[in-house]
Amino acid sequence: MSTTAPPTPVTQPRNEEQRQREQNAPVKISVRRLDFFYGRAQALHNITLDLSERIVTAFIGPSGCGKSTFLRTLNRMNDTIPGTRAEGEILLDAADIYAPGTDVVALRRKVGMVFQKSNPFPKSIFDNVAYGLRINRLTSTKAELQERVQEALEDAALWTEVKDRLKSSALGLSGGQQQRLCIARALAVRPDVLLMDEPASALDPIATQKIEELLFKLKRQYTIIIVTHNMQQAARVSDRTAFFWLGKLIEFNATEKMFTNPDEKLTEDYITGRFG
Amino acid sequence: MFKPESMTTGNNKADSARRTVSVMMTTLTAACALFAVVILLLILGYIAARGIGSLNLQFLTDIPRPVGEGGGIGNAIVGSLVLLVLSSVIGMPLGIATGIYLAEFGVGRFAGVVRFMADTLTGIPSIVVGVFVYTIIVLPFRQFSAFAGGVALALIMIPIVARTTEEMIRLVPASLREGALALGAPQWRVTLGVVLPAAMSGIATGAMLAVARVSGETAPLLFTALNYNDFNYYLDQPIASLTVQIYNYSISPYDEWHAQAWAATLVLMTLILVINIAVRFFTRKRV
Amino acid sequence: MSNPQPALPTPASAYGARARVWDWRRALSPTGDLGDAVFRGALFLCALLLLLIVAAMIAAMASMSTLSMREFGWGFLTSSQWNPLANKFGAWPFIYGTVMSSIIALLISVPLSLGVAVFLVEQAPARVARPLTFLVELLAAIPSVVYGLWGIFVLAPFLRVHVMPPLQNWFGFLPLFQGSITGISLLTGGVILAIMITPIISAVVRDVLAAVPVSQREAALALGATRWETTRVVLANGGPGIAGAIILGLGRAVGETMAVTMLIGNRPEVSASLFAPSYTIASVLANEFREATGDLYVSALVQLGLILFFVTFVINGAARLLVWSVTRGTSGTARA
Repeated sequence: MSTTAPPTPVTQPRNEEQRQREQNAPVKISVRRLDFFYGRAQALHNITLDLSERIVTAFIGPSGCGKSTFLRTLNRMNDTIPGTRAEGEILLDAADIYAPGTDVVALRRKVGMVFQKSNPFPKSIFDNVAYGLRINRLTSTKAELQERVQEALEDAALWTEVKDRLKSSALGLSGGQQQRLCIARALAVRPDVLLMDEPASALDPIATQKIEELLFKLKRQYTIIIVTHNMQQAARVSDRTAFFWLGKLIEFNATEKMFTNPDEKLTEDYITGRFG
Repeated sequence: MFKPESMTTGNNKADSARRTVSVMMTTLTAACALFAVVILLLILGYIAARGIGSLNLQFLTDIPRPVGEGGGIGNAIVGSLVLLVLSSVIGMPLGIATGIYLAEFGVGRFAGVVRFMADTLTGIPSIVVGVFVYTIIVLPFRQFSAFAGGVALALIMIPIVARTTEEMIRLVPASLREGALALGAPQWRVTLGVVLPAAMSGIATGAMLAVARVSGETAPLLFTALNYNDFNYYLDQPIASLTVQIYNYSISPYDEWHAQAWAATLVLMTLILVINIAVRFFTRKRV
Repeated sequence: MSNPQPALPTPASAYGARARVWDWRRALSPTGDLGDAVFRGALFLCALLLLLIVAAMIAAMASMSTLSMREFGWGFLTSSQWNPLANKFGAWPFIYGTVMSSIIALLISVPLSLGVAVFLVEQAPARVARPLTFLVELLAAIPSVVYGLWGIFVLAPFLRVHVMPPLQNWFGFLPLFQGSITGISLLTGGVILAIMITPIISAVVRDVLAAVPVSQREAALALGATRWETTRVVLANGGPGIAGAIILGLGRAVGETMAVTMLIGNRPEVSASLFAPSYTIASVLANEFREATGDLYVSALVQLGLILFFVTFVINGAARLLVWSVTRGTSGTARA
């Protein structure tokens, strides 16, 4: 145990107008008494929180605390793991996504996801971004398809780097470019919500910075939820932060408050590096 | 800049078409799996139904007799066992040793070539192995023999055993090996005394599967072990086997021999199924 | 304990020559331990033996078939005449029968095997997939001669009564489905081959699909792909491996002997009809090798064996390389 605590992470500067906007943002996803199980092991305990529109919410906590599991319940990605079970409610635009008869395919189109490790398909750059548009038949003409691919690549700040080699394999891109391609692929179908599971953990500092800059731009249009093990990153990019510990939500607060004057002792200990 | 699209304004008609295709494909692939299983059950069912009638102690112990006089497969059962033991005695040590070599020293081009050849050899038709053994053993000695049959089966066994042995040894955790090496033991002692015992059950399973595989081989025996209508315990003489006996009876024109072919098949399939199910049962814990 | 590195400098090392002296112990074992050197040497010989066996196969069969090669040259491959009494031997009917029966087998088995593998890996829940996988694998454990027996008494009559007449009714205008229907035919041989190679192809495809990273499936699902659309992404990832699996199945079909011999009719003639009897390379070896009299006859048969060896060798080699490219040599190796 270290005697000198590391410096408190620096949050982004905010003016009063921004604070107002963040406080009054309408609720996009409302989670009520959510329990989640892997077989008999309970991974999430009684989670209740509201995620607001066009706000970046960061989930932090030590590894194994359930933050990634929780993120994956929001687009029902955990359904693919046999033996898992969710209880409680998750309301997206006031509709329960775990209600029987929910169209999971439509849900995932609305709630996009970017993974920890970039996972481009072994296809061309263009085909990667176009994939979601094609299977969901979101465009009717070739020109429209090209337009939306370009739009998505521009939004992911990748367009200038790849515009001359759209037909070459996505696997030839660098790690950071691949991750931005995956973001572009997710953006192309125009989701409402973007889930990001430690999107920069496998990247170098420069590539990480690009992704973080991207988040600032994207939050004007998207509700973004990012899982990160890096508290500096959470402080830098997010408006609100949720702290998870042993499958429980310990504290959920404005990022500014969370990193300067948290309500919970546990949060403070974690943020200042006094345990872990 | 654009406005995010709502889920409800999505292309519902296209969505339902996609869902229909998806459900159809799941159904179709399930039907494929079901079809394969039905074929299996049909084959096993026929063998059980048609074989059980002729199965009795006399059939299991007697030697073949002319049509109308009954007869049995006692000599063929003993012959098959002799061939299996013989091929195991030749093939197992060589296969396991090759497998150990590939697992323990298997880096570099030579090992790569051996591995590739072993895999390719498992795909060489068994009839070709028969032709080969005929040219190197039967022809020079001018004699069909149990020994030639055993060698042919051993040649089929070696690559299978080698590759499963290698895979099983690779499953042994490196920590176990390093622990022993750190105590100053030479590598051969570590391999034989620590790694091999740890991989033993896996190697034994692989060996059993190889035995099950060659026990059903017919083609390589046709002109090596040939066949024999009585009990034979001399390795330099032709010997009967269950598979060749089944073949001879099933292409014969006599109903009685057909019935005996089904009964002999029931005996053979019982052996093979018992080995496969036992292997399945014992490996379940580890997987 | 032997000490691998003597502490005192030897005269040779003073001249820097010691490193160049070839030490067999050291060459065999990095530790220089005598036991290790012997151990490794013995294992090396066993591994070498495997290569020698392959070399011996080629050498023995090549020398036995020289007589036939000299007599017939390349014409052996194209001549349709197989007449032991006149000492005339041509391989074309057998090559034709082998190729045709294998094509029929692949046409039936490839979609079936892909369906089986996709269902077991991508679609079925684990508790269904496990027992089904075992049952499909059991199909591979059934000996060829047993398939033959079942084929003679169940499959051939079934095809004769329920499959071939309708085919002839509907498609009788095609030469493929003309002629008398006996049940023992090229088609019957192809169908039994299809059943036999299905567990092999599907087992390798299963390994290939299982080797596709979960992240690829998640990427597709997260974009709103349906189960089938996700499966297509996985299939695209496994492309070369699936091609390898199919080629592996082809290799098995080409060399399969007993069941085909019992069902294909064994007549060395080239007929356009699938309902006519045919003959394969493996079958003619099974039927005639034992009774072959005369050096040229035996030599021609061995040459057929050599052709079969090379064809299956190339097919299997190519298939392994393709499958390895996807699974990286981790699985699906000793199975087929």
